[in-house]
Amino acid sequence: MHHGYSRSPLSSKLLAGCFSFIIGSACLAPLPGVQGAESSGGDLRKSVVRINSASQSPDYRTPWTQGNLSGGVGTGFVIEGKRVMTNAHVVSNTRFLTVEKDNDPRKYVAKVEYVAHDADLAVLSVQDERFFVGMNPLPIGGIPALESEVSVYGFPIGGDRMSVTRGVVSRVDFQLYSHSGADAHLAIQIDAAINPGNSGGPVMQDGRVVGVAFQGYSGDVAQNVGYMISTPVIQRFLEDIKNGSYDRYVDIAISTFNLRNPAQREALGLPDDDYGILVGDVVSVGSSGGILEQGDVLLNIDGLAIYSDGTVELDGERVDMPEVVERKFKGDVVKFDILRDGKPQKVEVKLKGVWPYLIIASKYDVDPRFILYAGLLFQPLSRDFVEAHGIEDLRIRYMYDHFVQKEIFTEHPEVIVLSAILPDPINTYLGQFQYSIVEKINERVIKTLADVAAALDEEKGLFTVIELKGPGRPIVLRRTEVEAARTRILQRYQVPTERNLGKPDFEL
Amino acid sequence: MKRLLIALFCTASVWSSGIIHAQDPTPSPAKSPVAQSLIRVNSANQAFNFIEPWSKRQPFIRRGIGVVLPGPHVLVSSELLMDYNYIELEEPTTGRKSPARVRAVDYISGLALLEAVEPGFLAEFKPAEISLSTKIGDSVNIFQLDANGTAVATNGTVTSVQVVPYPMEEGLFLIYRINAPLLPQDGSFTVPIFREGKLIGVLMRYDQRNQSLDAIPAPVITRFLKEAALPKYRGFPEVGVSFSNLRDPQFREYVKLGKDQDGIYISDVRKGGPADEAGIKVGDILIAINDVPVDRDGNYNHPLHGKLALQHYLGTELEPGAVAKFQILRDGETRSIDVTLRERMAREEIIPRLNVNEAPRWTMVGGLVFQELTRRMLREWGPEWRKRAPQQLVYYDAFQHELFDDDRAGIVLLNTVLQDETNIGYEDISMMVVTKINDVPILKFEDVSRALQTPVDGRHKIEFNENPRVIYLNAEKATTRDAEIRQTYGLPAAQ
Repeated sequence: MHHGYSRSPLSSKLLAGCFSFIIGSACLAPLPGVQGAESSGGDLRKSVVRINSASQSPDYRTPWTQGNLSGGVGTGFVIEGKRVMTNAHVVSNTRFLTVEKDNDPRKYVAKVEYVAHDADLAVLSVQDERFFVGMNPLPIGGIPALESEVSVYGFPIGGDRMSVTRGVVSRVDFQLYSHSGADAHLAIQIDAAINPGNSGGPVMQDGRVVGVAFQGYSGDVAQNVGYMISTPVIQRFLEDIKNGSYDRYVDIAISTFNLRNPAQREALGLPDDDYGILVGDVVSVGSSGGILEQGDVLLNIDGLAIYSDGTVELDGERVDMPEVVERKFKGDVVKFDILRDGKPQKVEVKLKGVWPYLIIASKYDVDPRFILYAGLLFQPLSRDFVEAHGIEDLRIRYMYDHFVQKEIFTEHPEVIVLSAILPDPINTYLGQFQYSIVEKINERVIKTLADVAAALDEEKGLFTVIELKGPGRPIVLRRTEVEAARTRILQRYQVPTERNLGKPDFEL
Repeated sequence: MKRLLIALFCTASVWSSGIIHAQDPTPSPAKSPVAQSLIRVNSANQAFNFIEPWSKRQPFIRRGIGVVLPGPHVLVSSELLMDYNYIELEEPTTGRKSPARVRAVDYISGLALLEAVEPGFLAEFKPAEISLSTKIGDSVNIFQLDANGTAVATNGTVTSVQVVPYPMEEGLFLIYRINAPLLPQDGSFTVPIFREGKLIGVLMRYDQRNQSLDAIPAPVITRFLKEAALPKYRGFPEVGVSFSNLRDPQFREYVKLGKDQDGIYISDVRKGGPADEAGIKVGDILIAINDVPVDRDGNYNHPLHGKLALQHYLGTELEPGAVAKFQILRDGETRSIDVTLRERMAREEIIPRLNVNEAPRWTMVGGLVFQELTRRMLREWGPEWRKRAPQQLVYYDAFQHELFDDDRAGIVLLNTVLQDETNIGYEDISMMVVTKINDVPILKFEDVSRALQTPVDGRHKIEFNENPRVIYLNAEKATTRDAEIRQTYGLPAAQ
């Protein structure tokens, strides 16, 4: 699977630990029979399906094209309600989907009903009722115990038939979900290899799904390490889509600091015990904006004491405090007991998604947004953009890296980059301006891609004057010549449309 | 490219003796005139450690060739003595030695001038003359010393004369590009280049694959020597403007330039720089300096080299304090504005770039190590430091002229935390920008020790520009622990 993903060198740098999608090269050795823990292994296997996807992934360097065609194989399983669950990354950017089941030569056409790119999960429907005949929906279980045995079902590389491997639960922890590259949720590490093609397959214990296989390390980084999406994440997704649409995860959007230094505790008016964490930064447009403040001490969340190492006790286990928020939905409320300026207070935070974070999330199933004008390509800054262009420009990198933390979004809800120049007589002296950030066009301050469109559409004077961030001269284009160059450039570079304004991330 | 050169010559030292040289010179008992002005220079260097500022790195020795000049003084490349502890001069054939003193050093142009501590040590050498008349196509001789101290010449040809950025990234200067099959030799820092017995340049960098070397040319050396002769070294001048060419016809029309009008667009004027103070503005079109016309690419006509970038005229041919008459076009009118050039070194940087041979400035309290942010510190992340060092700091370094308020004179970091019972809980903090200590704004390094004298309610309160924003130390406890922390981690006693 994952033939669809071509990652630029920059992307692997950003992912630091080579936390790659399932690209391990070691083949799975077939295990003899699946017995023991799974008494009804045979029945379970009937509910596991093979998914074929033909997809086109956009190329952010040529955003007007439909992208490169690729195909891939993944795994899915039937859940209640005649639905097939799989990973989001198995069905991302898909153009055509089919599913196959054991002992049935037919390929059934499937459709994506819901997809959660931030949780790497998707639910598919199959119109042909015959598909579900003889298949039992797999029940969803809980979090398996450490050291307990689990079985992974799927269609990984190494053969065409279903493969089953066994492993032991090695760790339960927050992990980066590399499909979006921006979200971390509870994931379970197992010592069975998860290989390309395993993606979306069920991980079973005692006849229940205890996880969905989704990512691993490439063989040269770590071996016998596979990750599965934990059931709280699966349950949350299923719960979220009940109302007919998927809202993203919500976030309290603060950064915190553990309070383990006696002098710091004393200064903040805390007793010498083991509770309380400090609020460092609060994202102004996030859920906590205007409610929590820098310097507040969080003591209790929804009735759970917050330990000074940032954990709470949930279902008898110490988990990171954000796990409490993880299980909630848009519009839910989190109650905090806090200490502000030494005085106890109670506050409520109504949860919502935090759009500025989306700049660092990979996007799927949407066409890249851009404006082409006089051969100059304008694109909003985003993860896909940065990876495709291999951006090294310091201004752009800084704005990307610090977009949330330095609240760059207040001034620039979108950072518009002049990202390429398609050579033409009209722009032959403008090559030096590639990878500049647009500040103004014809005196209009540019905050969004829509601003660029509006500024360019205004009939104003002889010239279009584009001012860029930092020192340097403006770009000046003679309007009549831009008009003359228009068709010429579109034809020469086979650009079907010169604009895709699309839907921006920001909520203003 | 410069680092490449160092690597090249360092490895070269291993296989220098016993190798048969490509151009084996006919051995002659009498030294050639050029050989009589060449001297070995050995420099014991030891770099400061900007990551652990209380220690120095492993010492190493660099060997190079100096050119004896009238004075008598010895010209070497500044690279040779970067972070020096001790420098000595060595007569190449006899091995006679004398300690040396630095008379002047200029890291921007890459040059340094030494003198012998021992009186009369240089008396037997023949000071070299400098020739300024080198031009493209000239044959030159590049001199190295072999293991026996014999001068070995390699022939080369000047292929171009250009104005390019120098390794310190502090402006554009002239170079001679020379094609020559240079053989790596032991102690090849400096490497002088002669033509007809006169010094015309010293090697700056060598590209082995293309057998092409860039030389710091005689005009740059001459400017350096003139400055070095003054009681107080000033260095190379600057005006503080950036240019943009005026070739784009649409832009020319926009700024209402006539078809044949030459000149260059002033695209940036550094705040507080000489041009800014003289009243030069962004958008002015510079058409001539001191009646020397400037073309639309920013070139002027050099009598010897033809078209040459203006930066050579402004930054090398003129001297600090000189008045350059900027003839500009503003709002369609011609004006003349006098700009008084200033030395580059005088420029006050928020994040110092040129602090070579200067110890990092740091202080420690309760295991918290505060340190001044410098370019040198960022360079500790290696040749790719702009990608690898903390991005916020790289960004500050790159755009310091537009980012900060006037009252800021430096950036102070909490570099690292030396773990101790007093700072428990802070062990993961590193490379954070300090904004305030004990409610005193930290606008330069000196503010730190001043602020630490006034704890608030018996605690040091340290604030940052990001999470956790604020931490505290018990002031009394921190002070009592300091001696032990210093001992445990091997820090020198308090400064």
